[in-house]
Amino acid sequence: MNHLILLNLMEGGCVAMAGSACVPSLRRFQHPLIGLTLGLGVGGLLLRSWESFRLGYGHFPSANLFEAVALLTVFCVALLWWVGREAPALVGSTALVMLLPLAGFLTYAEATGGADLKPLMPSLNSIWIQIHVPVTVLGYATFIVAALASAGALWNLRRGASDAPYTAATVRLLRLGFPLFSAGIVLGAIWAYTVWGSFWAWDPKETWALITWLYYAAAFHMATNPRRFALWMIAGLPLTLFTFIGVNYVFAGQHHFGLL
Amino acid sequence: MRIGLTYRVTMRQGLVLLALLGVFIGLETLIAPGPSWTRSVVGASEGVLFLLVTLVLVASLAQRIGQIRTAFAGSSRYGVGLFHLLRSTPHGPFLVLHGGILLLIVAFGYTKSGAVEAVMELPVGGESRTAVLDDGRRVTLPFTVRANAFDTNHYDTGEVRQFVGGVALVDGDQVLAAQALGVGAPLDYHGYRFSLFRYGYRGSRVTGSVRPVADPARATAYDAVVGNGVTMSDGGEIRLADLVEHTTRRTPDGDRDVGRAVVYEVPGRDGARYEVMSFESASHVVDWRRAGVREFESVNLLRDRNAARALPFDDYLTISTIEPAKAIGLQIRYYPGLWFLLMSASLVVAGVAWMMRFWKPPVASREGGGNTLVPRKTAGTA
Repeated sequence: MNHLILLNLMEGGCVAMAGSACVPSLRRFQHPLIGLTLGLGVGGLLLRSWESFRLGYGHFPSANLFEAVALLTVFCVALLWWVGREAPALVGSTALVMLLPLAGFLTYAEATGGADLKPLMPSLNSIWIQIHVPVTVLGYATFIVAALASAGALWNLRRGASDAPYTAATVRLLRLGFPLFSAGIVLGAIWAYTVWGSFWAWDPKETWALITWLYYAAAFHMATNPRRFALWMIAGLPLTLFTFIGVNYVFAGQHHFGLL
Repeated sequence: MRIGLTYRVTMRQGLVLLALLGVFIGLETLIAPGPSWTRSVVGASEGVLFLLVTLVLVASLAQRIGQIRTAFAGSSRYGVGLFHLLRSTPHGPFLVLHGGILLLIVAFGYTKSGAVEAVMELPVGGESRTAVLDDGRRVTLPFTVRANAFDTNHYDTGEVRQFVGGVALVDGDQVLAAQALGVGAPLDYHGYRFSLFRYGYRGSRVTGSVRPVADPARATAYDAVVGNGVTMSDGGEIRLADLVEHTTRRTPDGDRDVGRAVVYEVPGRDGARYEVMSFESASHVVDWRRAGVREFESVNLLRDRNAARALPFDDYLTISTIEPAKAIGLQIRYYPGLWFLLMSASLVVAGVAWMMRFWKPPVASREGGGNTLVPRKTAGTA
């Protein structure tokens, strides 16, 4: 289980990022820390893939909730690497609000056996899982980080400071995430047609993904008002988290395998 | 868009409608166990909102096309003009995205209206051309579906890697298509898609002999699954209708443990069909009745030859084995507008990506009411 060592170190990196946000003198180490955490996370995922192939299961980590959350964590860190320089406080807020709980979740999953490498059930044993899941999870990650960037923008607006860096970060993230999320939904529909013979079955995950898509499509229609836009993006965070993780627990459906 | 009066679509209307549609779709999933009237109200509201979103999309497209009509003026051919329009004007991504959404709505409606969405469950060795639609009605396919085999592949650790069901489509004696289906490896034939979605043991396979009542020594071996028929040499058919469990039963030989029994339908000499029950552990005893009659009558075919000869049918079954039968469930789909649907969905994704242009830095454009999210030259009203 060498990959778990790297993923544990990545979780440590997330904790260190949160810590650096609380200690002003450490903030200059934030960006190298993001790079290190990202490297550990990517390394952990690649190593897990390699171990999966070695065991004959042969899949990129995208098949259960542990792997999806690990992907989400790595993607969030990667997005911080992308936009973190322009919006430095975003690194700390994301680390405190999202990365710490995600790291805690991964630790809990490891402790309860949810991180064990398992073979894929037949319906998941497809190349599509390695396309649909990462694309969609990257979409979720952009929405999450964008919500936290919007919180920074709103905070600055309330203080009378410039919201420009945070709004710009939100815009960059949303402009990346929305096409990816759209593509993720379409790719999922194509995969569903291959596996179940049906593009769209109003499965709870599909339905809530559509709701999330409509929600962020609506965001583009209100981007003229920075305050309203920031509030809308922040309010999207619980919706995104519910679609990503909550639906699996609340509703029974085709995505029910995504549980610990 | 002019509908008797001039109406201007705004981004805010699009926003409100999208948000409301999302809220109602969410409500529908949350109130699923609730009373039926709530589902009706939410369903009707969704329909109205969906219609309004479509109308606003059409109106905004018409509005935008009105603004860019001049872009066609300089082109010699329509196709070139459209290409030029998409490449060089700020309206291109808008047109691709919103046009894509409209096409997707039309494609979805067209595909759904002509679709066949049915399931079929076949025991291995069985065949049928009747599938059950999602609403419970039955539909006859233009060919017969035959299940040839079923097996499972395993990982080294013992877990199932893949289910494999051999399926053939036949028309009379001609095999139209045959394939080993797996989960995620469907069979496509003339627009029909057969997906393996259920697998395991369903029903019972019965082996034994068909014997003439008048001459029980003349036995013909049979092997059939309950629910299917056994064709006789004279062209008649004995159909295995049911498998029933009996513990103790009163027979002409007295009370005895008779085990399981197969109920089958057999044609009578008088043209009527009879239901006969043969017992697993006492197959020389049959219970019979005319189809639709409540009470069975019992005859011991070996001991009471006169009663046996008086039976109104010629053949009966004796049972050798009753075992669980492997069966596969097939999802059958026929979507007439499949490519239309895929292309329009791709158009939506391409339009979103093009409109967002995430590879370019954002241009904030607060002043003048422009959209801050997209590059300035694509900004405007919805």
